[in-house]
Parts: sequence; C-alpha cells; structure tokens
Amino acid sequence: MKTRLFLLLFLTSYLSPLTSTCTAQPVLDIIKKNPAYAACNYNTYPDSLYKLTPAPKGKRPFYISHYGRHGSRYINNSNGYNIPYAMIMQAETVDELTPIGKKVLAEMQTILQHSEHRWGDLAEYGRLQHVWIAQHMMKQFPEVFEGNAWVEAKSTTVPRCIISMGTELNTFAQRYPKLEIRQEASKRDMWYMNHQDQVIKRGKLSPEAKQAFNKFISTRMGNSRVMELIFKNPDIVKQIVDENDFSYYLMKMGLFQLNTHLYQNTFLIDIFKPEELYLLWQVDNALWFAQYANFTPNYGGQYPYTQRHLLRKIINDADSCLHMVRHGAQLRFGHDTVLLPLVCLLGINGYDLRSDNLEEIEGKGWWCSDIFPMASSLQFVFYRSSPKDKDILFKVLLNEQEARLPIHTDCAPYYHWRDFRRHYLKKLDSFEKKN
Amino acid sequence: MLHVIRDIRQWGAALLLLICTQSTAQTVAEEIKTIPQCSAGIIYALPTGKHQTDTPAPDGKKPFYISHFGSTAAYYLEKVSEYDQPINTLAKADSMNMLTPLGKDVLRRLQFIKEDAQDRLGEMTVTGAQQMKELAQEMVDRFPDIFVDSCLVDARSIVRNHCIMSMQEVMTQIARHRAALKLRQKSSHSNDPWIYVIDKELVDERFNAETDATYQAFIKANHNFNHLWESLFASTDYVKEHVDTTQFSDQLFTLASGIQNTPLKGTVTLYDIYTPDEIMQHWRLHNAKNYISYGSFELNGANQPFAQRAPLWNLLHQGDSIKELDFPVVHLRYSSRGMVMQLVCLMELNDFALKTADLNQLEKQGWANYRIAPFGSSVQVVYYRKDKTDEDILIKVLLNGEEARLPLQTDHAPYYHWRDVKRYYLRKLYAYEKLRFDQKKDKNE
Repeated sequence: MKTRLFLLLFLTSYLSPLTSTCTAQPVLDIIKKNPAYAACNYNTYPDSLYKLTPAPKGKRPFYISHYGRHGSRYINNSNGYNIPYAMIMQAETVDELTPIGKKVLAEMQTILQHSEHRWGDLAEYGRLQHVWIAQHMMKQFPEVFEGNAWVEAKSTTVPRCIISMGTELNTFAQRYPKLEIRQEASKRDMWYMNHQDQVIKRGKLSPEAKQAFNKFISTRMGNSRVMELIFKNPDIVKQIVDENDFSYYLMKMGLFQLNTHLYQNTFLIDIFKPEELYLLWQVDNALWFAQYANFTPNYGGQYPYTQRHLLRKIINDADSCLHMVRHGAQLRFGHDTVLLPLVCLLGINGYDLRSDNLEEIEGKGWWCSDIFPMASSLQFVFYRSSPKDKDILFKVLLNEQEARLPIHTDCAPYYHWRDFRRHYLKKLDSFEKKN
Repeated sequence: MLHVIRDIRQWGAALLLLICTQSTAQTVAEEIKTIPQCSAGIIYALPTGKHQTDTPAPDGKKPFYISHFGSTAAYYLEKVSEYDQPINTLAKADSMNMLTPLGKDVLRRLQFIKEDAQDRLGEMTVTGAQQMKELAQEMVDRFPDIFVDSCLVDARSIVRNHCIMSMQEVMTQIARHRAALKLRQKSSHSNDPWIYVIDKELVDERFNAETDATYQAFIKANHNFNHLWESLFASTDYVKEHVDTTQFSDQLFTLASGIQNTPLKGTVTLYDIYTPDEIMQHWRLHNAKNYISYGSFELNGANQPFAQRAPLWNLLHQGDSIKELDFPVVHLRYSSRGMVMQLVCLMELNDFALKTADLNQLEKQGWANYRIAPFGSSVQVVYYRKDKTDEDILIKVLLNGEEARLPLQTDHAPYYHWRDVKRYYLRKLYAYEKLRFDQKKDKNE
C-alpha cells in the first residue's frame, strides 16, 4: 500500500473515466455481482466447496504442501485513509461539502475510529475463512489427516498470519484429536517464507516500468462525477483536493471494509458505479502485474524469481516426505506479495504471462483478484498407491480449485512429480547460474 | 444425612489442603536448594503434571465460567546484546589471556547458548510450547463441566510473538478435546487497554531516590561474588579494572537461568560455576527488583500493583455479563509476567500483597517471584453456581493452578461469594481512583 501511495504521488495527469476505451466485460460483470473483486488483494474469500477430479486410479492422497495467505484483515496503517480524509476535512472547514459529502465524511470518521488500534489485524471474517478452508481440506482429502497423521505448520512472524495458521490447526485438531501438530512462527524460516530480494526490491518499479504504468493509468484515474456529488463547487475544491487521489482512495476505503466488521455498511461503495470500480481494478491489476509478475520493462520481468527459495523449499520438503509411511501436511502461512510471484513463477493457469504491454494483460486473462484474495492459497496434493510407489502424482489447487501447470502431463489435472521436479529445478538452476 | 456427608467431605478436603500446604511450606532457601532452577525467578517455568486437589464446591454448585489472566510460556531473550555482552566480556578477557580454564569453558558454553537462540530472539522455546500444551490439558481435565459441547473458549493475547504462540498452543490442545467447542482467538492492540497495561505515572514512581538508595544497598549486601570471579578470571586486578561486575553477574545469571527452557537443558548448565550462596544472592537481587517494580513496596508508595486495575476491572465486568449466558465460557488472556505479578499483588492473593520497606523481609515472608509469575503462570477465577437462577455465585481463584486465599471473609474457603469479592475489589479500585484524583488535584493547585 505504501508503495502505491508513493507511486500515486507522482501521478500528474488524468482523464474522466468515461473516456476510457477498455471494454473487458467479463471483469466488469464480476464486479457488478461482487464489488470486492475490484479490490484485488482485498478481494474476499468465498466459502465454496469445489468439485474436484477423483483420485487417479489406484492412488490415494497422502501429503499436502501448502502456502497460504492470511485471511481478511484491516488495512496495515492509516496512510491510505488519511489522504482522502485530510482532503475532505479541509473542504469541510471551508464549507464545501454537499449533504452527501457530509455523510461521506461521517462514514470516513466511523471507519477511522473502528480501524484505530486494529491496523493489520486479522478480522473475524478472516478467521472464519481459515475455518472454512481447513474444513474443505479435511472433506476433500480425509486420507491425509486420518490415522497417525501429522501437520507441520509455519507462519511468518506477523500476528495475522500466526492467528490464521492457528485457526486452521484448531479446526484440524477438533476433527482429528490425535493429529500430531507442530507449529512455529520463527525468524529462522523467513528466508523462504517471506523472502525480500536484495536486487529486485519489493514494490519498486524501474524508471521504464514506472513510465509505462503512468501512461496506462493516465486514462483511468479521476472521477468528476463523484467530485460533483461530494463537493459543492468542484472547481474551487480542486485547489485543495486532488481528484485522482481522492477518488482512488475513497473507493479503496469503501471496498476494504468488506473485509472488516463494518462489512454491512456499503455506503461508500454505493457512491461509485461498477464501471468506476472496474477502472480502479484495471489500475491496481496493472500495478500488481508491473511490480510482481513478468512485466518485462521492470528489471526484465524477473520479479517472480524472488520466490525461488520458497519453490526450492517446497520441492525439497516434498522430496523428504514422499516416501514416509505416515500421511501428513506441511502448511505455510504468509503474504500476498509472496503468493503472487510464486504463482507467476510456477506459471499456474497462465499467470507466467510475459508482456511489455499493460493494455493487453486483462484481455489475456491476467486478473490478480483470482490469484490472491484474502486467505488465498496454493495446495499441492500428492497421490501414491503405497510408500514404495515410484510414480507419485500430484495436482495443484489455486484457491482450492484445480489449476494448470505449464508442463506436459498425460493425466491432467494430475502431474508426475518427477516431471515437475525436473522442469522447475532446471528453471531455478538456470536463473541462478545467470545471476 | 446427605448434608452431613457433604460437610464431612468439605472439612476433610480443607484439612487435606491444610496438611498439604503445611507439608509443602518450605522456606525459599530450602526450595531453591532442592530445585536450583527456582532461582531463575520469572524465568523459571511453572512445572506441569502436579496433581491439584480441588476442594469440592458447596451445595452442589458447578463451575460455569473460567476467567484466566496468564503469562507467556518460556521464550528466548529479546535482545542479541543480552547474549553478546557477557560473551564479549569473557572473550575480551580471553584475548588478554585472563581466563581460567573454567572461564574458557564458560565462554564456550555461552557461545552454544547464543547459537541456540540464533534467529529466535523473543520467540517461544520448544519447551515452552510443551508446557502450554500440558497446562491446557490439565485445565480441560480439571473442569469437565466447563469443557462441554456448548462451551465457548475465547482467547486473547498481547501482540508479541511468544505470547500469541503460547495462546495458540493452548488453543490447539483445547481444540483436540471436542469437535463442537466454539473457539476464538485474537491478538490486537485494540485489546491493550485491558490486557497490556503500562501506567506511566506508576512506572515513573518506581525507582524514586529513596527506593534506589535502598536497592543499591541491597545489591551491595548481596553481591559477594569473589569466588565466582576467582574461578573465571586469572586475576582479580583484571576484574576490578575491566569488568562491570554488577552488569556481568546479572547477565551471566540470566543466561544460566534460561537454559532450563531451551533444548540445551540436560546438556549444558552454568549452575556448576556458582556456590549455593551465590545462587541465593542472585535470586535475592532479581526478586527484590521484581518486588520494587510490581509489588507493594512501601518506599515507592506501595501502589505499583494498581497498574493492573483495568485487567481487574475487566475481570469483574466479564464475571457479571457471563452469568446471563446459558453456556459455559472460558476467557483466556495471555500477557506478560510482570502484569500477572502486579495482578496477583493487586488481588492480594495468599500473602503476596506483602507491604514492607525492608527488602530482607521478602525471603523471610515467602514473597518469591518464582511462586508468583514464572513462565506459564496464571490467575484463574472459576465461577460456580447451581443453575442460572442461583443468585449466590461462588468463585475460587487458582494461582498457578493452586487454590488461593483472598483477602476477605468466607464461610466456604477456598470459595468466596461473588458479591463479596466484587464489592471488595471495586471498593479497592475506587479508593485508588480517588487517590489519583486527589494527587492530580494537588498537582494542579
């Protein structure tokens, strides 16, 4: 968020949203039904039990390897809220608010008041999401948890991740009291759980990438309609209110509440038309792509490799578990800024899209809201006939739905583990050799 | 007839409790001699597996609510300097060839200790996690009437890694008990006003000039470590010139105390370098500092425990609201040891409200930090009633799992009438508020 704030301070131009020419209806349709989708990484997680392909013949699930994001949370700090709040307060002191504007101000004050001392906390809704996910896992793959099974869970040292981890573990323990559970949240594991690369800094855009991003959003920021709704004299107010920042952050402020205990109050969201929320989504989707995916003008589109340690750890951990007699799971709880590049690095569902053109990513299906809503997760579910089985199969679930990998298989959605290892270890080796 | 049997049972249990208390009423010196780990004070880990006897509740009353305020499990020290400084002191002496063979060996042991804590500063230890699981299981086993299907267990922790993990270990263990339990856990700064309270005004009063002078004199009287220095360093002149002995002895003993909570337990020890008297002296110093900071020390106003008036208030308020519910509730709160210690003193449990200006009285009167707030310590208020219509709710307080004495009259010890308890503590809290009000008024005038 801080990064985005920083970036947006550099924005200088805007056009009315209505002048935008982009017409990707499917996303707009989704937003019409579910405004939270427009919030990208603040998209909320549904309680859906998906239908999955039956286990491959003669094999049973026995091991799950997982990386998941914490559930719905409060925004990390007040910066994003303070920007529109300071602007509207100044307008209020010079008597420039309409009756709707005054209501907007009151809503913002409520939000600020309720968020105080909760910055970054896991919300109750977020806790529930992990109860659902754990229940789904046990329902879909009971064999993994039955008998003398084990679960090893690691979390980053961030409290909302620890509580997310704890919630899933408690849900497992309630159903399987004999489950052996180990849990930890240690700095010792941060080298792969929440890796910060020294070369490609998190959220930092190269000058070329910044230029391309600014060009992309120049036709998508600002909202004169909402300005007229809130302020008596938008022309006068323009001297004290930045239209781009104000409308952008106001939309976000409204959308974020869908994750908190204020979720029933949609007054701020209702001010905006779905088309306007859709433009916000386009801006954020492009920003996430530019910063965390394979956007070639940004340091050669290599950001996803920041998660090479995590991928190697997932492979190594699996290798050491695949022939254990006991069944079990390794769960890791972390962040969107890890999960997104990991998904891109793996090329799940085509999210390894390489592009230098932000205008084309939406048309090619690169929609970040599908990747990393709150409580999003990647699960590798492994199948074998016995501990001696040499042809271990697995499938990947992105947010509990079967996903595609860019490697050959003769048994989709299952893949041969040996093919996966070979492909990705080669990919990591060749990156590390070059760098 | 029935009531006679019940009375006999009650008296019998009370007698048994008395006998147990008497037989275990060791002096602090005896206890530390038997279990040197106790000298670690608030670094000592509350032992698990103790068989606790519960005096039967009178008149067929059953527990329906547990309100708990506890401390974290054992964790690694939070600052790397706490490991580095004593190592550096010895390493410097070593570089000047000023360590004895034992001194060199101690340096080697300190390096093991630091290595074990590498990248784990402030994190709960594996032993700590095990302690929390066992304490949770003991609670579940002890109160089967509470941990039924309809029970709600709501846990809160202060926003510190080791505290959240302590809460988490407890909750996972409780979760194993029943699939239908409703579990909620949370860690948020929004709870700080009643779970993590630091009263700046009281902190400022802690070490006033008189207190400081008394404490310094106490340090002087309990700082006879010549044997230790002679065994570690090759020259006493070197020690005089190069070692800040007050700081070094404190840091070294802290590391010695912490080993019991780490995987090094049983492999590495530092207790062998101390004489029993040196161990006692170290304990006395830490204990006195804890008393000054958290107890009712007369020279700093004896008001430090009042820092925890908000948690006590919270406890009283929750007690009243829970009685309206139809299902059992467990409120678990995980905070720091200092806060548990203040709360114990504020609630005047057993004899821990001891008010004195003489730090030598602490040992004599049994005011010992490891008895009050070791790792895993807790105050549990357990509420009893016949049914929802029963207006005479009784409570008993468990301090570290054992039935505790409250500073008020009762006809059913260790059970107390909730209305009496509430009245007593509210009056105490209001009187203190009045004192603060008067102080403020005086200041403004």
